Amino acid sequence: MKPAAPDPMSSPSAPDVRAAAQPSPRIAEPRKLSYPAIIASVLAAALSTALVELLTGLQQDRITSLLMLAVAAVMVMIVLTSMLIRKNRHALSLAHVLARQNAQLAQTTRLLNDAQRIGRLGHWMSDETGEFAVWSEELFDIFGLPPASRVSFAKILEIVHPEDVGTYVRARDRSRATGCAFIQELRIIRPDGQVRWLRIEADANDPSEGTQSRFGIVQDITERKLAEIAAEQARLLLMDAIESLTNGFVLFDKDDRFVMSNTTFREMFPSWTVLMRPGVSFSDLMRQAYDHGLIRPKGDRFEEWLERKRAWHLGGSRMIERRELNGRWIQSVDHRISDGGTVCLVTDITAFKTVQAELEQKLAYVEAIRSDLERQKQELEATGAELRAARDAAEAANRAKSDFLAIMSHEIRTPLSGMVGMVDLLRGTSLTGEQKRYTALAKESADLLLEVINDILDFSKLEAGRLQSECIDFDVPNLIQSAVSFMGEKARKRGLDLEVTLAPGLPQYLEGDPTRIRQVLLNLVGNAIKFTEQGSIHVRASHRVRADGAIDLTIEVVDSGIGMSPEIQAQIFDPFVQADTSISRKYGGSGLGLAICKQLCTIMGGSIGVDSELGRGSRFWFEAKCRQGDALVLPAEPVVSAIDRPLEILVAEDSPIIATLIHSLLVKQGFKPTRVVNGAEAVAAVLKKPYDIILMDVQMPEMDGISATRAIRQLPGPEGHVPIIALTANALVGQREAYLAAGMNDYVTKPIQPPLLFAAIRRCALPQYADAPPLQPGSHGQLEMFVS
Amino acid sequence: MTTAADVPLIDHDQLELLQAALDPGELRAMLVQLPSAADQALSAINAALAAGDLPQARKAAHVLKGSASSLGAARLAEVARTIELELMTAGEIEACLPDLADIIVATSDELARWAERA
Repeated sequence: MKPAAPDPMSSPSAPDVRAAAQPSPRIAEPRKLSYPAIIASVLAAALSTALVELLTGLQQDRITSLLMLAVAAVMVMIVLTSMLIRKNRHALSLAHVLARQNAQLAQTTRLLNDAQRIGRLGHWMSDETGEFAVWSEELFDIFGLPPASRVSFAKILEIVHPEDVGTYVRARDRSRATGCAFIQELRIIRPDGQVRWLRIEADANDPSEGTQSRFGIVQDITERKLAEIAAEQARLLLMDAIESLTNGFVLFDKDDRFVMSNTTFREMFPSWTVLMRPGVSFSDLMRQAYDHGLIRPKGDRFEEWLERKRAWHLGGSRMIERRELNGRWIQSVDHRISDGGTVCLVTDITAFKTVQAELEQKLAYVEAIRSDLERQKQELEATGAELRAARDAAEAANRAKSDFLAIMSHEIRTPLSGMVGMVDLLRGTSLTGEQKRYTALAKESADLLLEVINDILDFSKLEAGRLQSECIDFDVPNLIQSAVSFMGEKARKRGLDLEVTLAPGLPQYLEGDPTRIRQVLLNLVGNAIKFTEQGSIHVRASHRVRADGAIDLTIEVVDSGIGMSPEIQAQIFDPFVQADTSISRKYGGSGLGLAICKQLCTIMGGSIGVDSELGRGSRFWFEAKCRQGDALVLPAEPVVSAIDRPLEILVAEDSPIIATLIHSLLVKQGFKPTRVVNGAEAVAAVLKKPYDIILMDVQMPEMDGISATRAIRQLPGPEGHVPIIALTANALVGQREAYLAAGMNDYVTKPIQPPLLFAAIRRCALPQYADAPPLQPGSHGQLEMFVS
Repeated sequence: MTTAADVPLIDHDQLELLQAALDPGELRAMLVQLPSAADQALSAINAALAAGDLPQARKAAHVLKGSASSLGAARLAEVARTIELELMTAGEIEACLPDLADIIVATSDELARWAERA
């Protein structure tokens, strides 16, 4: 009994969201569903009627017919009631749907507002005039205005930033005139003072609608805009930085396409600038540059070159230097950056290269100089070696010369001494007047020759530096007096006065080199005598105490002789110089005397000089550096009295042969020798009787010569003053000091040479033998030469 | 350093000096004394070395040096000087003594001849 279709039952019971969104179809649905129900009811009524007629037709009773009719009526009523109920239920369902749709609408509106709030976006709709607009809620928030039903355009213009008003109005007017869509970004100053960036959009007008009202949105884009501004500022900063680079700067993106270059680069490569369009790839750029003749790879085909170039470009961070076609030097390095792009930095290093080239040139120059110097140095070294060799040769030659001189002098001197001795002996025999004259001349010549030889010997030794200075105590007045009196006879013979003046306060004793002082003094006095025809010679001695306690002993020799010109004075102390060659003919001499004196003074730490005037005489002076001296053990001044008898000579010598030899020599000379064999016997002999001279061997058994001399010097009375001559085989400077310090007066070296022995005896017996002086100044020094 | 062989056996200059200063007889008398004096010195050196007394050996050599040189026996004097001043050990001196003996003999002969001529 349910013939109705299920749709009307099911439709309202299944309302859904889609239905709510499509209200129109939903309202039509109940009407459509009721047709089948009506049809069914009519069919049921018709069927009931037909059935009743059929039954009637079959001759049933009327009651049955009526009953049948009633049943049909009931059935119709049931159907109708059912239809009514069903209609009521549908109305209820519709109300429910409506309420739900209202709720959904409110929610949708709320969501829309929320969406606008979150998106900082509102919509508006202007009226026909454009003077007023209706705003969405959010729009008031965006503008900072209280909500209102409508907002005037004038109000908006008040709020828009004054700088943006003009643009905005023009754009809006244009849009309204054309009906085109309108988008404008502008600033507003809200009533609370905030400045906001807005994006205003208006939809295009649909001309078919024929209305001037517009719909649009407004979005607050302040955050985005500020970020954009910040980004732009950052970009500008970066650009400024890139622009300020003195390097050329080129940027390629990760696909190796050109992005940008800076001005420096464009100025460096103006012809490249036109090729460098953003987006062009590195390879294409190179190809174009090649086509434009900006690149000329040497020796390579272009594609091969490009391949290498690209590998370098992408390899990154490898610096290269190259010379451009325009002659400039370029240094470039390509760096890969984090996004895969490439930054190319290009530097013009032409100036640097120029400086470098100059430096290299200078370096080459310096190198040339250095090698030149090196070569010069080598030459100098070679020269130096040659010079050294030459010097060594010269020194060797000089030594050989000195040796030769020493030997020759020895060879000459020895026989000459013999000759002098022989002449002396000869003069002691009975001679005719003529023979006496000849022997006197022979003696004079021999003495002169001996003097010259002695000078040469001395000088050669001084030159060889073999002479040392002594430092012993000596008696100053005694030294001067004895030297002067040694020359006294010579002066007297020439009719010259020879005077000595000792300055007041002159020390009695000094420590120095009396031998050298005596030698210099004798030389100067000898010269003075030689060059003074008449008048006097004056010897003056003085001293000066230096700050360090040293004492300069100054001795002057002033003569009234021929004098000298300044030219002569200037060279008179040079060796082998005489005032005049005629002088050497007239006066003789080696010309070495003053040179020797000068060297001797130098050795003594002193100096020598002369003041002279031609025809007015000369003043020679010399200084010797001495120290304060002590009194001698005993004054060593020989005391030999002038006597007529033969000299009594004590010979202390342990060697019988030497003793015999000396004894024979002395006897032959007319002396009276006494022999003892050691020092002790010598002392004992002196105590027994006085002797005029003692010849004392230094090295003897029992008591040696030095000890014996000291012992004798300790004796009281005249015995203690007897002159003592050392006999020694060791006449070295140091040892001689010891002998003299012990109180010996003189010495004779072995081998015993008769002339030297006799000379020493004569020196000690000065007053008697002063007129026959074979001894020459400096003979002390010469003696050293005989010690071989 | 000169060796004894470089030095002439006889220093004729010295002998001539002596000759000039002495009578020939006197000189001859002295010259003939030298060989025996030299032998004595040699004996003294030997004895001193045997006794281990090096200074004494040197003294003996020193005396010989003076005598020999003064009488013109130059080479003999040189050997004596070497023994006195240059040889450091007894062994060195001993090694030198045969030479010394030879030179004494040679010197004696030469001096004898010289004395005869003089």
